[in-house]
Amino acid sequence: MVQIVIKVPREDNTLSEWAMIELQGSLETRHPVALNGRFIGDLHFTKKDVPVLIIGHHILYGKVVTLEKPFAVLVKDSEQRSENEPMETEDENVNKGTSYSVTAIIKKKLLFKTRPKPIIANVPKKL
Amino acid sequence: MDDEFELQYADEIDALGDFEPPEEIISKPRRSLNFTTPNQKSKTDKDDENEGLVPLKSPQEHLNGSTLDIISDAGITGRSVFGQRRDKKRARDDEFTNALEDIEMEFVEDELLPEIVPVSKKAKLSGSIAASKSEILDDIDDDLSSATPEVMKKIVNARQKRNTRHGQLDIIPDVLLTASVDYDFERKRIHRRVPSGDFIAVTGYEGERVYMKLKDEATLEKEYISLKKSIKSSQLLAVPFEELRQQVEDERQQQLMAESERVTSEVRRQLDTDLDIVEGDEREIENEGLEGTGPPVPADEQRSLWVEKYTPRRYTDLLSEENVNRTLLHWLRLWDYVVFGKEISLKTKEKKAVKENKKKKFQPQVLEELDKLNRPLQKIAMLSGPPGLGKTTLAHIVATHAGYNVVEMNASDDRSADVFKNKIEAATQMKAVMGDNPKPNCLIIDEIDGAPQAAINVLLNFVKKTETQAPTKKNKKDGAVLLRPVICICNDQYVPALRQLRQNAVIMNFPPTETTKLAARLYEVIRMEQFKADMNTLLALCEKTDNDIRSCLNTLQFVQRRFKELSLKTIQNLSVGHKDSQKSLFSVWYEIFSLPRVKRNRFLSVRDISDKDLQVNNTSPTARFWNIISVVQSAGEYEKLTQGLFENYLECRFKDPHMEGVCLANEWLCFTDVINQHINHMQDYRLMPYLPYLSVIFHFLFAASVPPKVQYPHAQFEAFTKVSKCQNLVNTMMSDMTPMVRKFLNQSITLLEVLPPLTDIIQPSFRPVNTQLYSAREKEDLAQLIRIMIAYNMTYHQEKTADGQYNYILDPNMEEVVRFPGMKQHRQLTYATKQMIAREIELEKMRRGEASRNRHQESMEEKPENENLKKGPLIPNHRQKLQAKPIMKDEDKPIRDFFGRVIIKTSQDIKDSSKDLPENRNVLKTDIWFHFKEGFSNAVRRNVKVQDFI
Repeated sequence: MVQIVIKVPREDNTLSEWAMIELQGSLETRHPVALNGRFIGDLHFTKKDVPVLIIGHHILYGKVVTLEKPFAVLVKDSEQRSENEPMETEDENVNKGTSYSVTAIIKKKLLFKTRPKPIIANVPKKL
Repeated sequence: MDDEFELQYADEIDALGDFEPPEEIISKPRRSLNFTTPNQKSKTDKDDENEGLVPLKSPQEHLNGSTLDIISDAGITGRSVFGQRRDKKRARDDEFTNALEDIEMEFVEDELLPEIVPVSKKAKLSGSIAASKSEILDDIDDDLSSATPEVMKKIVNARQKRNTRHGQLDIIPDVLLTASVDYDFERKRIHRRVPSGDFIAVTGYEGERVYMKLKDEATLEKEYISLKKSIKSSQLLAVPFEELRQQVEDERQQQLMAESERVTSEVRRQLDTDLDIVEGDEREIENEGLEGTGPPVPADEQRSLWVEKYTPRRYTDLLSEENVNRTLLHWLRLWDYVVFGKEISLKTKEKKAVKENKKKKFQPQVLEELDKLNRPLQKIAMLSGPPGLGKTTLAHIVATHAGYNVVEMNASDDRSADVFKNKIEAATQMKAVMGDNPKPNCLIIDEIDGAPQAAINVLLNFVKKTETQAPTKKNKKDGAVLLRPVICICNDQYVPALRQLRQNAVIMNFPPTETTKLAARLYEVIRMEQFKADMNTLLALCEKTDNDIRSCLNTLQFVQRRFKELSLKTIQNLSVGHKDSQKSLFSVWYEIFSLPRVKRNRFLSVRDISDKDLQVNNTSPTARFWNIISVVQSAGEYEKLTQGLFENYLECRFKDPHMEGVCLANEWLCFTDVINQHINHMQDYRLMPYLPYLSVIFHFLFAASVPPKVQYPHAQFEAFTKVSKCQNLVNTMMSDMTPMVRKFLNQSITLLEVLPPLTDIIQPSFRPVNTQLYSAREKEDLAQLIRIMIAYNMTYHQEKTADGQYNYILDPNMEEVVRFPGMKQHRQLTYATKQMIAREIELEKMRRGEASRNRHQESMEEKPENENLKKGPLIPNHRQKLQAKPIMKDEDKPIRDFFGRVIIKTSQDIKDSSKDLPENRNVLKTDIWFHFKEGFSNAVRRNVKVQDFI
């Protein structure tokens, strides 16, 4: 049985709450480049707390949905495992000291399921 | 005096007043009736018949009381004066006495003494008086005619009596009249109670006491004057009506006096002589009277034209040729089946068949057949011929004879097609329902050659429509079918507008009436009018009018009014009016080019021949001169006429060995041309009268007994078309010339100086080999040729000739403009060369076009720079102060988010963006875009290996 060690930070304060973005559709790039670390777009909230996502020339209006089950964000921490957390080792044979630490909890998600509206290039200045 | 009269009338009124309320004043007419009735009776007793008096008198009596009565005293005649005098005297005698008796007495007198008429002064109007006087005179005249000595004496007595009256007439004072005038009928005169102011008490008719008011004379006068003034102010005439009337009366009076004196003197003279002589004198007087008034012709007959008066009334009266009459009648009869429902008898058909053989060739035949509607095939009869032959009369009479009601319409009057249509329909579709014996209509269209084409087309369609439609019974009821005969009358059947109509019509040409027939008829007329003329004169008249009946009759009537007798001399001196008839141009030319034939003076009797004036010499130069002038002037159309003369005069057989006549003729032609040009140029029509004299000159120079065959002039037209064609060609060429060439040329220079050599220049000799093989010089020549031809906008253009061969022709075809026909043909380039040249020209044009386009593009590219340089001054004033907003560039602007907040770029972003290609940045801000996927799926799965987690 594989055992995965998950570390929970001691201090409650430090545990930040993240939000998840759910899009109906996919993000594409012109070039076949991995998307990680790239700037996707701007996320804003209106005064009524409606999330607005601007990706490229698309603007998406979504809503905030509380997840039925919260998610925890785990970060795989391979360096520390050997030193700090021997408990968490799952497969010590293969990868000794692999552990996960919870960096954030996700309780809400921003759901963008409507069809995006295009932004016309010149107009935004006035908008 | 006034009072007297007032009194007098008061009494009368009083007498009558018993029947009416006392306050009411009896109106004048009533009273006048009372008095005039016996008066009239007495007059009718005395005068035999003078009803004229009554109407004369009564209106004037009604006028009484108005100022109109203030008429001169002059009109008062003896009889009335007598009455007046009586009134006056009586009034004087019976002043302020009981007037009752007086009235009674008057009535008695009326009956007893018819002459003494107790007419009130108001009734004594001059008109009636004068009339009555004339009656007396008439009486005397009447008596004279049946003269017996007793009567004579009686008359004399009467005369004397009257004279004495006339003598007294002058003495009558005006006062009487004026007094009569201001008699106010509305005023109360009799009072039963004592009135205010001055009054007189009188005992009434039945013994009661009444009072009469006394009126101040001054106030009366005032009233009178004011009344007069008020009337005067409203008069319409410059001279017051009264004065006018007085003048008239004066005149009448004088006339009457003079006449009466004449009659009296006559009577006296007669009395002196024996009875027999008296009788003779009377007859003489009678005769005198007869002669004075002229022959007893009724007034309306005097007024009517003879043409109308002696129009034939019956078929047998017709003057026109018998077979024309018959043909028309026959044609009308063919309608009988449709119109009257009568069967057309076979008998006529047989007759016709026989007749057709005999018939003259020029007379048209009436087709016997009927169409499916049982109408004759030719639905229109057309009568044509010169004026005055009785076409209209014939149509009318025949139509009436055949039992139709004639509806005439004059096509010259009703010019629009609409009116025409309405009239035709009204005439042919409708029928008089009023009147005891309604007849079907027969439409007669007079002077149809004057109608416009549109109107004639209406008629034509109307006639034709019936043919195209299916002839069913239903159609008959539609009313759209022509079921009535239509007769058209025209002077010239060859008017273009009538061409279509002629094909559907029976055409009847009127031959001229025979002179003898016409003269015989004229003689009849003359006899009936008691006018003297002999047959010869009439024949001459007929000749002169070209057998125009109308003209003859009009002339006769005219002459009859002025002279007692129609003499040959008068006829010859008369300028007889023809109904306006134009001769065709051909006949005018014919007239000009032919010598007149000598007319025999056959109407001259032996004794007249010596009289030179009477001899008609139509061959004398003067006569020829005037004849030609009149013919040409009536023809008009000088220009065409001149052209015809010009083109035909050389064909004439004239003797002119030295060509002097031709020279003269040409000079005259030039003269006419100059005049014509001036007229057309300056619109100066004063010179118009000089134009016809050319024809006269031509007549004298070239007229021959055998006239040439005149041809219609067309040289002018041909020349004109040629000129315009050439001009068009040159213009086409010039319109697309290179500006460098064009600017030195105008039309005449091009035509006269450039084109003739040019046509040779553009035809250099080329070797018939491929252009590739040309030497440098030849190539240069070719290039030169191409340049020239392009510069002058010429090229070769393939055309198919009449015989099916292809040929290259200059386009625009300058050969045609420059080369005269019939000249020696110049050397032409070969077909191949022309083809090669045409191709080269096309190529060169394309090359140039390409080059110019490139140049254009270059210039366009250069332009912006230039524009920028020049921009400063080009900006309009109002914009010079306004600065254009600088266009913000995206780079300069800090990136802002949706709400305007500045987005601070992370270093990585900047790096990314810097990495991106500039064009991409322009298109999209980011490299990433969102691809929306429609639909719904909960199953977003991804395969993850555990391996990755560990």
